[in-house]
Amino acid sequence: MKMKWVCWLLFISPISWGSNQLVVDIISSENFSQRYEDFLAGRHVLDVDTFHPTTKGSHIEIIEMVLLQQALFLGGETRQVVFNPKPSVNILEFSDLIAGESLILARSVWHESIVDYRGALFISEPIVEVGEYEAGLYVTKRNVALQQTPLSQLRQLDVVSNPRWAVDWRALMNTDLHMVSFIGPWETMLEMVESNVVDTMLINFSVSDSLVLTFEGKEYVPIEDIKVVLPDSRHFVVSKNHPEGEQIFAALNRGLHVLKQRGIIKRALTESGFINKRVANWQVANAKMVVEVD
Amino acid sequence: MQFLLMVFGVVFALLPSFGTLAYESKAHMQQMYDALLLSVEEDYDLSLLPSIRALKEQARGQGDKELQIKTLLLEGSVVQHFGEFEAGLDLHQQALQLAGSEANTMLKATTYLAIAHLDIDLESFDLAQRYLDKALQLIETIDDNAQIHAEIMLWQARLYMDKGAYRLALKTAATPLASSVRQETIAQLSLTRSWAYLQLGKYPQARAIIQKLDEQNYLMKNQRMRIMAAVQRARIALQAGEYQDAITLAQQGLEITLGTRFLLFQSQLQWILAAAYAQQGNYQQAHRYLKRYTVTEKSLNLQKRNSKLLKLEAQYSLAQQQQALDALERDNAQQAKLIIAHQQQIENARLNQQRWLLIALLTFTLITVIYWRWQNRQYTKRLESQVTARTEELAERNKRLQTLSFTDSLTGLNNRHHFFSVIDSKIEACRQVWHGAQPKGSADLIFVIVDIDHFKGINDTFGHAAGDIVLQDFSEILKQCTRESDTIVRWGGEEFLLVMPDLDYVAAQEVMERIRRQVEIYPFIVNDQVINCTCSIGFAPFPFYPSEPEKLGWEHVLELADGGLYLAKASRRNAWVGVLAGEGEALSGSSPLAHNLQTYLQTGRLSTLSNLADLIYSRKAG
Repeated sequence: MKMKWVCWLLFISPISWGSNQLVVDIISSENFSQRYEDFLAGRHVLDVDTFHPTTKGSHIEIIEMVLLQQALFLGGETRQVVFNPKPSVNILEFSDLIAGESLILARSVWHESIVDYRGALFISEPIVEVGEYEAGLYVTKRNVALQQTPLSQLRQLDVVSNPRWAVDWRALMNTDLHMVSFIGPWETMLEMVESNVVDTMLINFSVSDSLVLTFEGKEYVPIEDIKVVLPDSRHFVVSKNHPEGEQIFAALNRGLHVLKQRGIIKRALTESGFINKRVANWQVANAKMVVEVD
Repeated sequence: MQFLLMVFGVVFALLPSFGTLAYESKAHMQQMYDALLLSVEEDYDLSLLPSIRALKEQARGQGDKELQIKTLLLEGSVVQHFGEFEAGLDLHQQALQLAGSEANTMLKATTYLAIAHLDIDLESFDLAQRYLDKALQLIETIDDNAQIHAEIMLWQARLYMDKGAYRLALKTAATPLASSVRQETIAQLSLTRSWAYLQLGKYPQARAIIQKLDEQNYLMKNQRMRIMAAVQRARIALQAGEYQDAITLAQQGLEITLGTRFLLFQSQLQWILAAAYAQQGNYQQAHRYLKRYTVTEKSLNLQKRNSKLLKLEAQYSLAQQQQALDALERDNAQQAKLIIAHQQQIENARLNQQRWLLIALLTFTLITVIYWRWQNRQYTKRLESQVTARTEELAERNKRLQTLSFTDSLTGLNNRHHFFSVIDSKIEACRQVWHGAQPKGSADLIFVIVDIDHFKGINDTFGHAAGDIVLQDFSEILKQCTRESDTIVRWGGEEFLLVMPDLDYVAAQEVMERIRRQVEIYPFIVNDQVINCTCSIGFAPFPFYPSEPEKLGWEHVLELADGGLYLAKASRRNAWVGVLAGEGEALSGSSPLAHNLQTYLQTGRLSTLSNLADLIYSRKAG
């Protein structure tokens, strides 16, 4: 039954739109096409059913690009997806989407960043649920003592974070860590850790076996047995003002629903290392703030 | 408003009577406080400050600590609202100090809560949390704590909101079940909850809350709550996509906030307007409000920066104070060290002094002892030499005395005294010869008694002086006729005793004869006249019995010699008679020998030798 429906969609969509390409905007600085191609390794994006990482860094952005396409396809949108890099300089973060100049973004966004644009944006089912997104407090690998910091001693450490990364900021605000505010490039923040200006920094867990993050030849490791939960969900957003918005959003949500039912989203997040089994039993530094609400 | 005027009326009516502050009744003052509190809750009106301060002074004057704390907190909350955090902090600290010594738990908890409020405003979240925890802990002991508990929960929820823990805030700000909680507090909790819902994008829930509040009409009283509700209404409309409503509501809200200090709400409203216009496609307006929003945010950041600075300054001054304290402590420690060192020095000097004193004392004592000993020795030496001299002198005298006592002054011969002092040693010497050497068979020691014949006649005829001369001359003759080793003793009157060692009776006969002869022929010159004298001699050998030397003592031998003299005298005088052992049983000293002499001679138990034939009793003739 399902397949029949998919076949119908595959058949009808080129006729309906007269075009065989669907443009998905991606912010230039988040253009991971090289890593994306590496990940596909010649596979067709719709054939991808294993999500094991090919690189050691964070992997979620690639997985999202794949899941988005699979969801759209499953939801009936059979056109080939083309990623369109766009600069992010706008008066509002989601101006193009709000205005209907952009249809959809390749990456998921934090829910709290779009709550005030609900009137202009369709918000998909969460790709990452609240409480699923975990990150580590990375320190330089050479500082063995810091790596062993117990939860009760976190108060003594300085963590650098960007107040514009609202979710990170809120997560860290609810730990014992002493916060150092820095608005600037991520690399500089890592350098601050490297040069002992601060002790640690919140970073997605690396998918390497030892959780080691290597950046420009320098190694960083998370403080053992401590993780931080980012207290929000992540969603794909579709423009309400775009002529295709409603249709694409419907397809997307349908597809996501299917993917969720098949357990593919969970599998993708787990296999890719985004939900990291190695830290499953680690203590949550901001556990108190992660509560269920109706 | 009417109520407000009434309060002012009351306050100003009271003002002139502040001269008699101390006499206001407690109940009246409490009433005044309650009125002021209500006014402040409605709006932070600066014109309330003088009344609050006056009441505070009055409470202080009356020693009403409780009211003093309450007014301090009230004043603090007003100045704090106007951004004067430093004064606010100071007032709160004063209240805290007063509350510290207060037994009223509720008042203490209220103070903690007020300080937590201040710390939340200053973004000192850790400190705020600590005071909230303290307050919560305190009220556990109070029975009727529903109201204060709800207030603590309210501020806890606001703290969670500020920290971005929206879900936790939502849970914390749940409506309390107790009916004793003020509707005002319930409304505030509800507003906090709806704001949390909006932060999470759950506008329908927020809308339900606001609608309920509107129905109950709680939001009109308090200005702050009114503005908060306005902001939330606008945001609900925005999230619902009702842009026009959102714009209208936000602009209404902005009108209320104009001229107030609710910068935060202003910026939120401006943001809502910008977002609403943008989503409406009215970019010009969107841009306009975004610019305004940016300006307001800047002001807010400036304010935050100021409070951050205040915090930093406080930390810095605390650090400085700590440093100064540390420096002082170090200084003190240094001083203490110095003092100890100084004391040690003094102690050392004292010990040194004592040591030197002791050494000096010892030296002095030693010198004194040495000197004393030296003196003593000198004295002893002197004494010794004196003693020696004296001893020598004494010995000399003794010797002289002995000589004197042992010498006959007339003849210079030894006297009887001398004889008795030496006889025992001579007998002992003789006895040793007898025991040690071969028995000689003849006497070793000859006892001789010589008596001048008719001496009384010389004395009578020529006087005693002549008699003395005769005695002296006679002595000389005896000396000439004897050996050095012989002892000559003036035995008494004209009688002399000779003790002659190493002489047997045969040789003794020759000596006796020589003496007799010498005396006989010697011309004694007395008063220019020559007179002739003779002498009689008796002698006996010792030991008397050579085979039994111990049979007769020297006293008996002397008695026998005297017996010999008696024989010579009884005969013709000018003769010597030697008495020797006869035959038969030896005589013993127990019988009177002299008395029985004749018997023994005749029985032959004794024999004699003599120059006179008739005096010879030989053993055979018996």
